[in-house]
Amino acid sequence: MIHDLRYALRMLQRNPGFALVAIVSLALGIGANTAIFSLADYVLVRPLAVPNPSAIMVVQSQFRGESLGNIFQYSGLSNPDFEDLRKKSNSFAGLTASQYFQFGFAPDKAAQPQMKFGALVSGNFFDVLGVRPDLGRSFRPDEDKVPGRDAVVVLGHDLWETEFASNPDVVGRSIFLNGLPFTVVGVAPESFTGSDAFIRADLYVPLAMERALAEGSEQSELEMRGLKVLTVLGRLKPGVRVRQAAAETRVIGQQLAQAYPKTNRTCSLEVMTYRQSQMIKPIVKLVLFLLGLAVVVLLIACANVMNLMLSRASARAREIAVRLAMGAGRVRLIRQLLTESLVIAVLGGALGLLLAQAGANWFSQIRIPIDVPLVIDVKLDPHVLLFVLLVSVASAVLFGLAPALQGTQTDLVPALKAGGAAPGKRRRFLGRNALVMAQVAGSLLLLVIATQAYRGAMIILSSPAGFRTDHILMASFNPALARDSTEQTKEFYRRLQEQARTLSGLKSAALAQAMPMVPASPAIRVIPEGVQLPTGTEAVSVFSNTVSDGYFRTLGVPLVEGREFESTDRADSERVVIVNEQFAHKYYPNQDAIGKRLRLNSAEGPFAEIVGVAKQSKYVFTIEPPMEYIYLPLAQNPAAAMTLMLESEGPSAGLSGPLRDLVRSLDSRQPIYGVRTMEEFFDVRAHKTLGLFVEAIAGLGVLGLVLALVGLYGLMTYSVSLRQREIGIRMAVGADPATVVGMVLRQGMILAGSGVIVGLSLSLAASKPLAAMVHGRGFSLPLVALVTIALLAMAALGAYIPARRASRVDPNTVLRQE
Amino acid sequence: MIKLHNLDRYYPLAGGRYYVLRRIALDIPEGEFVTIMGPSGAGKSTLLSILGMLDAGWEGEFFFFEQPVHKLDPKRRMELNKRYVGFVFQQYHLLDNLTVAENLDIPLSYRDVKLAERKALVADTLDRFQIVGKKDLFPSQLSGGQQQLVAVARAVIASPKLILADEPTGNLHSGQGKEIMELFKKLNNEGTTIVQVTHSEANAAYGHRIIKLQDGWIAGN
Repeated sequence: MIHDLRYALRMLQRNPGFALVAIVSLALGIGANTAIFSLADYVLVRPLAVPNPSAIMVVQSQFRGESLGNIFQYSGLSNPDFEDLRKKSNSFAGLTASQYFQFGFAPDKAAQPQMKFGALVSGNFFDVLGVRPDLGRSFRPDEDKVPGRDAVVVLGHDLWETEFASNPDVVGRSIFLNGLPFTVVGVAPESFTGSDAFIRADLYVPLAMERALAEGSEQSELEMRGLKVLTVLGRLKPGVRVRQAAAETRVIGQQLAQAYPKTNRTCSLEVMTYRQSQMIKPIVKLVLFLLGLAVVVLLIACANVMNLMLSRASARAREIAVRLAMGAGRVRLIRQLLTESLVIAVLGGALGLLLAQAGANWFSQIRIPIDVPLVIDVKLDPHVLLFVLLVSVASAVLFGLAPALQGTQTDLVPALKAGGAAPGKRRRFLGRNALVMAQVAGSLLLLVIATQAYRGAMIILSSPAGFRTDHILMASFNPALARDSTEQTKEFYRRLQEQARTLSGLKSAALAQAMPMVPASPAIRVIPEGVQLPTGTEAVSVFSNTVSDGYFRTLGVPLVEGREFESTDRADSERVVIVNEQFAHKYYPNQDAIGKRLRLNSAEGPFAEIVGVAKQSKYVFTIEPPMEYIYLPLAQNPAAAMTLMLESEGPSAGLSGPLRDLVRSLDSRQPIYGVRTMEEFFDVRAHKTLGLFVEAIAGLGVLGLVLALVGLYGLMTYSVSLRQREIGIRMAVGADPATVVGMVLRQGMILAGSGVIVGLSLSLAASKPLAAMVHGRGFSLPLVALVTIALLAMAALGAYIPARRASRVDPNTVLRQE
Repeated sequence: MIKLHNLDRYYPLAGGRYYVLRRIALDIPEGEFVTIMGPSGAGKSTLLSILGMLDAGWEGEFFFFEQPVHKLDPKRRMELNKRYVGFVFQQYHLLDNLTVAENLDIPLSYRDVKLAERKALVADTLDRFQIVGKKDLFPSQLSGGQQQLVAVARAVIASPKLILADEPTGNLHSGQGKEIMELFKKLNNEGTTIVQVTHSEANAAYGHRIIKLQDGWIAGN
């Protein structure tokens, strides 16, 4: 084996051109795959950073027939549901609940609170997940038993580093959260991200402290069975299978539906593994799509190397014949040839890793400008390294086995006589033709997909968002962080909006619970009165936003019917809502939606009348399908965390100073965060994030094209070398250089053309799903034609260079060599 | 038809020039059957290649039908080759993946002959060389003699004024060789000028005169 390895290295050293093309081809293929796999690994595969993560299950609620924004089918559990499940379930060693929560954090009482994103967790949170704090202790089970009693906190590692300079004496110290003193009892480990691998909570507080933290709310959210927002994780008991746990949990869900029909009539409880819960995220489709494209690139690269190896096998026919004549066994020779393939694959894999590192860094640039501490940490971890190793070995077998098998079928006598492998040459060449055709076909498919996706993305990005992005400054507030009561909060927002409207250079001001294009837009269940929903479906889940009067004017969202919210829409007046066009069309086709009523939250919830229909716009992400959306008036649905939007006459950034001064003068305790222009926010959220994926798709397309052209060029060069005698004869009987160029070009173009026909058939087969990816934005045939012409032109160029070389064949020399 | 004056062909080597042909002076009138003889390495095949315009790396003067080849660019030389010259090689050099009829068609296709005319010419030639029954066979399905017969047919199909034959019977047994030489004699009698390279005294006897080459020099004429 060592001997084979040494010989393989020597062969590569002696053929640097071959080695370079083969290794670089593979490096590009493996590098692209590894980079995309590292993203897929991060998004789909990476488990929670807890011991024995495969035993961690996610329990979710599913309302029959309901799907939020036509995307999300599951929601969390309410606290009462969670408590009942915990009491009744026998499948889990422990069940834990958590909920992300905004905290007004201050290291001491005098400090201005800063907004921190943390989690309210059940007392057994750390125990169930099996996580031991780096410092201090985790919560005791009794610390979530009595509401408001145990003001204890476990700090996230990042917060401990940034706010306490990693001081180990922090345990036992008091900090202030929403104005309440909390005792630090521990510091979470660095690798721990809480209940989600993507979000790193800054701190953890017992769920029982929710009411104390949100003082002023009329009812504790923990008591509301209809509010299904808790993330519930469970650790399976040893020996219990996922299926068993799921069956038991479903039965408990049915019992809850019978016991609490008001809130749970159509609600079931579903158990899935953490990985399954990741696989249902919308981004998965995009990542799998990228992974599919990367695999095509790898196959093209492998076809390239296989072609090179086949060419080399022909050139080495004499060497192989000599070895066979010396008594080498076929298996022994195949092993040696495969060792060479493996060396190329491993070197290609190693170089590919460097490329993949660059790719991973590129993906890590993804920035979503929201206040949630998202962890975007695409990296080459052991999973990825194992993937590279497997891909390298698989590639070696894929591109090495066929040439090795063919190479060792050399006919000894002619090979020894002529130094070439005359017999079977034609058949092998046909095989190579088929490979190049497949490469061209794959490359065209890649290019068509890439260009159509690019076109689709450009159409989406250039189409109006449905709201204004210029001249808007945003700033977020949460008076609950300063322990303001509901009344104080209402008063603060009233005065803030009123005073902000007096700022010089301001055109209008409004408040909204959710900014456009933020994935954390609140959801609401509504039942449109008089509308027949599908059998068994109780309500519809839609994204919603609580907004003040002036919102539509400020953001430039036109109302196609009805009116805006007005100051007359008070807490004690009749409830009103504004729906969007999609909602109106879906539930009131050919009718006027104005005046229709919806029940909010459940069948027993209050009625609200539709007073306006807002023009359709983008709500969560630029590539979202058209979704239903509901606006609720702030006066009737008070919320603590709101964003102020200011429409300015001049550049909006200039308003940030005056706004801060205004807030200080109104209430110096109020933290102000997320001050940014809508333009900047929209550019990063909508353009740059999508742009990265589009660039990745385009990059894969170009990579596939380059590899296919290298393959075509290599094949034509090889073909010309094989046809030297024929070309010599043709020139001797009268063919001039132009005729020879034409002949070789024709051969190349027939190959490319055949590949194009196959590629076009595949592309047309992919047209439907492609059109669907950009929400029926269509599949542009002129663009396919353009790409095809461009590919053929590039292929002609790839074939022209060997053709020129062929026309310079000296018939005198070639014919006399025979 | 052919006039060579002071023609040299050499290869530059590290120690100086290596001459393959040296000061060649030769006059071949139209309708002559000339044999070039000499030991291996004497320069016979090189001389034949130069006469057929396949070799351009020589110095001196070469007139072909009064045209100064030494002053012509490669394109014009190739035109002369197309118009006047047919080649026959020792190794036949038929194209393996083409049938007999297709091999005969190649020279015509490079001379812009129309398809209908090409078909007629190929049919005539097949008939003339009595190989109609072999027209759909591939070269590998023919004997050596049959292959050379096809090669000669290919050389004459475009009605060249000059046939250059490089050891045309070198790979054939004596019976087949005789048949080919009789064919050349017949073509020569019909007016085609023939220049052949051979080692065989018997083949040389078919020609009008023998030019002997030795180490690149003309040693006898």
